[in-house]
Amino acid sequence: MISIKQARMFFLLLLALLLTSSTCYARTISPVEGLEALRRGFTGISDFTADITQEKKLSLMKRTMVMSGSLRFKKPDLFFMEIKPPFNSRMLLRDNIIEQAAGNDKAPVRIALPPEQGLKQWFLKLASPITSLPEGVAVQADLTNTVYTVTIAPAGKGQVKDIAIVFLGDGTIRRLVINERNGDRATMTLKKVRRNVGLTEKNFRLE
Amino acid sequence: MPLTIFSTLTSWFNSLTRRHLEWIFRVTTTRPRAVLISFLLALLLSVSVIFTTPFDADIFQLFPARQPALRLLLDSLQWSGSANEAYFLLEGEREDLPREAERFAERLRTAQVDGQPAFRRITWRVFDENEAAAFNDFIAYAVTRPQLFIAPEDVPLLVQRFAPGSVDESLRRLQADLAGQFGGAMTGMASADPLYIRDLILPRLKAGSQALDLDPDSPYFLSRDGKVLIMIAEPARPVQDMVFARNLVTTINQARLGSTVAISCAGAHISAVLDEAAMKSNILACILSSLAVVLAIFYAVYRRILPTLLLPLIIVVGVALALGVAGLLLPSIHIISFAFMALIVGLGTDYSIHLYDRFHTERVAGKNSDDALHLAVVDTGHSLFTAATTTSMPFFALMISDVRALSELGLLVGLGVVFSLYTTFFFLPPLLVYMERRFPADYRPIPGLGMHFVWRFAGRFPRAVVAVSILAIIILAAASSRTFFDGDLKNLQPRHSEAFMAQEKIERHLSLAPKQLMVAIEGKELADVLQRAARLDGVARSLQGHGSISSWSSLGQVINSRSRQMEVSRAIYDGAGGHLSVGGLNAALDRQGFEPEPFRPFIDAVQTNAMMTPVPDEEAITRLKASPLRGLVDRHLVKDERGYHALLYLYYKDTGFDQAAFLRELKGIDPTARVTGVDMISSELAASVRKGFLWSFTIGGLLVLFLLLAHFKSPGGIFYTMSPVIAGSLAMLGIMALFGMGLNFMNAMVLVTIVGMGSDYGLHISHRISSGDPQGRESRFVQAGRAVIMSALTTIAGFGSLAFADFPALASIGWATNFGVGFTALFALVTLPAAMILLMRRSG
Repeated sequence: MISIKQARMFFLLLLALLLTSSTCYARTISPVEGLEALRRGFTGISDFTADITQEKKLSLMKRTMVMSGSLRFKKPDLFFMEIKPPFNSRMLLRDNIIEQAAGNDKAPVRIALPPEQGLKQWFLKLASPITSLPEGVAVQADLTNTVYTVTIAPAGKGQVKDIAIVFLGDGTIRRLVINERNGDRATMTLKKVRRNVGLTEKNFRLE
Repeated sequence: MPLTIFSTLTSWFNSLTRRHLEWIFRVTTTRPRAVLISFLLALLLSVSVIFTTPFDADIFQLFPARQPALRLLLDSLQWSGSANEAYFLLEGEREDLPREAERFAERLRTAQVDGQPAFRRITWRVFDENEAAAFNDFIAYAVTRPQLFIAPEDVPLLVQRFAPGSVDESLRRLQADLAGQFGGAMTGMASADPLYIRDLILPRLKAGSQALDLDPDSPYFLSRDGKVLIMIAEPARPVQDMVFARNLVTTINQARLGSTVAISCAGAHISAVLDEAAMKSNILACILSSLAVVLAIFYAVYRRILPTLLLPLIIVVGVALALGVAGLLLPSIHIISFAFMALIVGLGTDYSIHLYDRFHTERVAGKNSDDALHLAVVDTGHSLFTAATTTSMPFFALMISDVRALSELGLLVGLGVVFSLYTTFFFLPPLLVYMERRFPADYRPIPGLGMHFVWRFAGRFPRAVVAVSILAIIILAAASSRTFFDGDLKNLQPRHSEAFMAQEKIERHLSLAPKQLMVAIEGKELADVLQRAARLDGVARSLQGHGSISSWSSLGQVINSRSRQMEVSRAIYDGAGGHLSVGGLNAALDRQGFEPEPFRPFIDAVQTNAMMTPVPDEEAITRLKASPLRGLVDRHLVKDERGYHALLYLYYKDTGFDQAAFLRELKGIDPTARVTGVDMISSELAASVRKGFLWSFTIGGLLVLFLLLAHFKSPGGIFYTMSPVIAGSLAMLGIMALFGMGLNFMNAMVLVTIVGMGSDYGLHISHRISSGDPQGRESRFVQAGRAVIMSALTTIAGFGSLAFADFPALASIGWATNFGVGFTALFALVTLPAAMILLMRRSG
């Protein structure tokens, strides 16, 4: 079961994920420049696939959960992620509707987000260049050799403390890290990113 | 002996009337200034009373609130606060609506009236994410009190959740859920309910909290077709504050300026302001247009400026005096009752027409001014006196109706008729005297308006005229058997009112079923009320099981009554072999790599065995009220100074639900239960109107009969007077049935009205034909007939102009009057003279 808050968080991450799979060039950048570079790089992508490994350090669990899987994206509003056993789950997002089937669940859990938080709307917002920091977030960016790290911290006292996106200068995403205020931390590493592979609707089904 | 007494009584009454009219003639011709000053004083008093009289615009106040179904509806509106809420309907494309709703909501949120926020709250989302923590708290409570929230038939599933294999399965699912999230945001919910017991609870809560048919995929109050989004707002002040309501509507209009989607609103404030304005403009348009037509008719026929100009004065004074007296007798007057002014325009003019017509005719015939005026005031005045009394009495009789719409209108029209008559009696003679002195003119014959032809035609073919009339009456009487009563209150509301149309859209796009019934179980003790309500839940469950109703909702649908809790606890005890064991859960948590500490509250709660004892009702209600699901309690349970009211809603289609059988069963289960629904309110009101109408008809009819007997002193006179009315009424009902128009709460009174007004036509015609020498019959008929046709035309211009009102309630009165007056005048002018000629010839 997912809450709206989780879903919103999910979108921030997804956005970061999608943007960082684009091409960037190395130089010292301000937060605005970093975000704009991510946005610009994404314009040349119509779809992509990647294998993922995720590590989760949760207060509920004794040990760090390590899982692997894959994800797919197709513009403008389709996203699919599959986690392999032992934590098998599948999640499909069509714009603002999330469907998630965990374990052997036959009926997926369905949650509708406000349409303005749907995938389409996010990308519409990114149609024009970023010239100032978006409201409600603080952004930090640094560049070490060819590796960028952009950290986005939502304002307020929400559960998420910050999200860090680590990517190479050639646009290859390395990692996404979420730090939560209760100490929980999730790290997703992407591998084998393939862009513009011609995904169709058939690749975005839960069954 | 009784006949002698009756004869003495009628003679005394006639003599009294004649002496009264002689006095009026004397005083108006000899002391006109005193008369005018007296009227002026009365007028000033009336105006001062009018300015201190409160006026209502609430449509519900027109109907008897003591009727059970309407009473419960009004109570429920009060309880839920719906009576004070404003509803906004946004119509457009699915993708545009949320964006525009956000903008509009923000404008409403910042809107101010008199420097204060205009609204207390604005709701348009199903779920507010700020309440996620409160929701988690509620789930933590609910899953450890399954006896309160789980259906007895789901107990095996609950017990199964604690079985060793299932616990591992649930925890694996939990791991997958945690893994499937990008973050760890669901940890709160996971530790509160690691076994997914909420899967057995949430569907029930969702079903119970649904009051509108909404798109389950939308987080907004959006219709399934995605075309309509509803927003609910609570204005800062009650609807009774009309100044605030008017400013609020201005603020709302500003807030919706520039929106790319259509925004309409409904609710008490909006109705009060917009409907009041619509009603006022409707009535004003009717009054002004009918006045213009009436004056034009009068001037076209008589060509005299001063008497024509006197008509509006007579009407204004008659109306003002009527309102002034009504203001003294009634605590308040409903705005819709102002429609009576249009009726007075039609009715009040009749007396001037008859009086002036007689005066003019006698002057043309060579009588001097005094004699002509004496004949007009005393002789025609006697008919007018009887006519006004026969018109006003049935209206006054309407006052016994407990439907305010009828009783108030009855009083106002009755008073209006009486005061119009007296204003005519006191104003017209002095004016005519003044006119004769200052503007002496030749009196030319007045156009006969075809009455010469009618008289000759009726005299030449009396049998054919009577036969055709009888045939027409038979056909229309047969058609009248198809008359139906339209009890739907919606059909009386203004069709083009924004509030009405918005309400229609809500019903079309968002209602769960076409019809709804609400049952209230009431009492002082919560436990007793819920226990009794639980018995009703069983009936509703059974009705839904049989497909008689589409769905139902009650508090008992989501929280179990005490007996049901015990049933669940027993089933848990039996199913789990004593109590639910958490030993398996502890081991499984360890086995699956979970930290035990975050799950401790859940484990402790299960270990205390709290699910084996019933949860007190108060605790359950308090918990629900503290959660985001508080609306569920607000909708189904109300506490006020009279105690608790548990509400159950049944949703059903037009067919398949036997309401009478349900009500019988309900009476057997709980004789004190109250029920309401649109059908019930309509049928109660219909019965009330029918009762009031029958009594008014009977009392009014008897009074008219007595007055006619007193006037004519013979059954023949009564027959001549009443036959056009009876024929006209049957024809009215027949033609309405043929045009698909039904009787309703408002136009039913036209039947009573026709008895009073219509009898005047026959009275004047038969009075003039039968009195005097046979040679002068034609000229007398022409004079009376012209006045009758003028009266009918002015009445149609007054009453009938209502037919074009946007308010169906008023329009239905207009159409019924047009038909009724039209046919009665036709039978009085054509059939009656033919029948009288036939009978007079037969009697030699």
